[in-house]
Amino acid sequence: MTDVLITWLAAGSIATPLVSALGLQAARSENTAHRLNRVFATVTALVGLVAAGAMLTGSSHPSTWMITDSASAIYVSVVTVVALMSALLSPAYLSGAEGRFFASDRGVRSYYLAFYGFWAALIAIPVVANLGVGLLVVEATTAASSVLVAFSGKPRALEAGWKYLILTTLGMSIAFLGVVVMFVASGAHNGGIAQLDWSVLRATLAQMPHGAAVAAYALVMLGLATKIGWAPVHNWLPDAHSEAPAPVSALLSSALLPAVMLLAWRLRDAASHAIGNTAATTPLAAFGIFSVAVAVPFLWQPMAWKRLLAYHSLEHMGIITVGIAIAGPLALAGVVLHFAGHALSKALGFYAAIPLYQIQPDASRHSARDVASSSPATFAAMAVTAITLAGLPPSPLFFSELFIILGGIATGHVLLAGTLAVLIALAFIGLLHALLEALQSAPGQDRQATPSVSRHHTVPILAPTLLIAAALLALTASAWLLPASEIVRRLAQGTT
Amino acid sequence: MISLVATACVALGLGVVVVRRRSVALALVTTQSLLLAGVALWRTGGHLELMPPAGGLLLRSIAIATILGIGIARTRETKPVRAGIEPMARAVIALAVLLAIPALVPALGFGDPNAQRGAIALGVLGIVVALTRRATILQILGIVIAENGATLAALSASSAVPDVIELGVIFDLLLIAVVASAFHTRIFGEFGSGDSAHLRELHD
Repeated sequence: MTDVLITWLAAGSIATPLVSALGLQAARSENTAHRLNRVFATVTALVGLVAAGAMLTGSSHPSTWMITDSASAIYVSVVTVVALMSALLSPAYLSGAEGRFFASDRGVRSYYLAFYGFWAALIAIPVVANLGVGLLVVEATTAASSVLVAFSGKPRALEAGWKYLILTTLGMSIAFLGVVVMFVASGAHNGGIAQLDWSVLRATLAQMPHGAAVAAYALVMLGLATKIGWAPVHNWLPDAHSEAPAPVSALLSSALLPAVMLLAWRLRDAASHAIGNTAATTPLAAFGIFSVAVAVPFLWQPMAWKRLLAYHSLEHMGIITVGIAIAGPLALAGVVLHFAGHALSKALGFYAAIPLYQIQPDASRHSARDVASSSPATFAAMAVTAITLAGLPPSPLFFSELFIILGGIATGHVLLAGTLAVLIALAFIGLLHALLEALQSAPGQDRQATPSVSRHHTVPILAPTLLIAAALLALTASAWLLPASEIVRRLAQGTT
Repeated sequence: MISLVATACVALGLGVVVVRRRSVALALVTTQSLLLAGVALWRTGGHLELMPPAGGLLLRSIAIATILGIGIARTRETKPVRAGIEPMARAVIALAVLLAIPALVPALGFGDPNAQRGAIALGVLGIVVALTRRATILQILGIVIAENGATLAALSASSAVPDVIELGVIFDLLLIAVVASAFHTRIFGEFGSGDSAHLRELHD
């Protein structure tokens, strides 16, 4: 397939959700909007997956506006799958939710407008060929996703959305200051926007005085850190992920954080020559290990299910970041596997919250209990999520974490790999604790549980659970092929 | 000239750190934004091809002032929203951070060292305003001040920053201002006040 065609497909995968967002505004009733959503989501996903497939088979030469390499392909395919599932489950969420953030007569259409706008931006982040434009798209995701976080209009959702909006926008302001420093200090005043192309950024940074290059790198990386939610600038993350509508929480955790992390990854690769590999990689390793360390104590606490998953986002983004910092072929195989496995399992976990809140309305604030007896299907979804996230075999995350740790040892990062192994073990015990808690009944606790709710009245969660469990097993089966694969070989050569 | 403008912008930003009234703070930030837009227009030298980013800055300044002005007018507070930290303490914090900037930040290649210090100072002041003020409108203004820091840096760079980035940042900031203003209105509707102290339910 020619590079031109691949570029057009990539552009199409961004344009299709935008067209869908506008098309859905024509719906005159909620039911029509939901039906149109199913059609648009399917078409959008098809275009996205075809584009991702083309990127994987293409020569990955960056064009003027698009970068269509292996990393882009992996991110576009996973983002597309999660966005499709979130879109298809959105009617189930919306049917039982009130959207007070928007005017009541426009609630559903406004939700879909923001949702598909967010989808388009999520696809754009990994394929945009330029750091500056990439940051603009990241900032645009804040506008779309913050209103989705606050969709219910409840005080807690408003708080989460507001915190997310203010903190991440401030972070992006810092990142833009870093971009301006790159232009100013590189001295190439006539280079234009192309100075920030991923394929040129290495040379741009090399032209800068060392101190200025380090400062620019630090400013942009700090800005990206606030959006990825790396500790210690993660303050917004547990709130936004726990208070957003479940389909949006899935997108935030499984798609947004890793997509922005790809920008950090590409930036590290571009800067390692100019500022030195140690200076470029140390912040990633520090952010990664600190994020896992900060998450662990929270994973041991009894906590509402979605909030627990939010802290797992912090943990797993930390693990992926450490893998990127290590950067050997084995660790990168772990990164790819972890990214895909985490995305699927975390999305399922958030989807399980839709029926869970129908069965136990107070589970939005307290840890869920006795789910197995009141809704076996919901419990199955939670169990698949918990087992996968805990890294219990046959979870693909068991192998990805193993790859990252062994990759760290193989490349001489023994202390980093050892620390990560200890923290992962502690997180593992914490999550199993949460799963056992969900199994237990709590006779003395005042609950609004409605165990008599008919399974016909709850959101069908069994089908997504079976599909995702099968996909996770397929990932596990393919794990051993990854380290020697063409995908990992290309990633090891660099992402810029 | 850029040196004078940088000093004026920092002084206006310091004003936002200490003033009580939202409308006064909005006036200070709007003046800051208009100053930067004025410099951008002056630097075009009348060349039409250089006008879009400069005109965009001017439109941005007016649009944000209008959006937030309407927001303030529609959400009259019965009493001023007090910040958690007293004005004098806020001023001391801000001044201490500003005085530390020359020692902490290396030379970044800006032609004018004052412009560099001013740009970093505005970024820091924006963060100080957003984190120490409780009124939601003032927190939005903190973002605008921080973005003005990046704008000042770009203006000191003799047209180095491409139009795509400048216009993109302007568009994004406008989008954020619209969304943030909608949040402000919803928060006021829910709590009867645009005081972010009401938003403290979520914690572990």
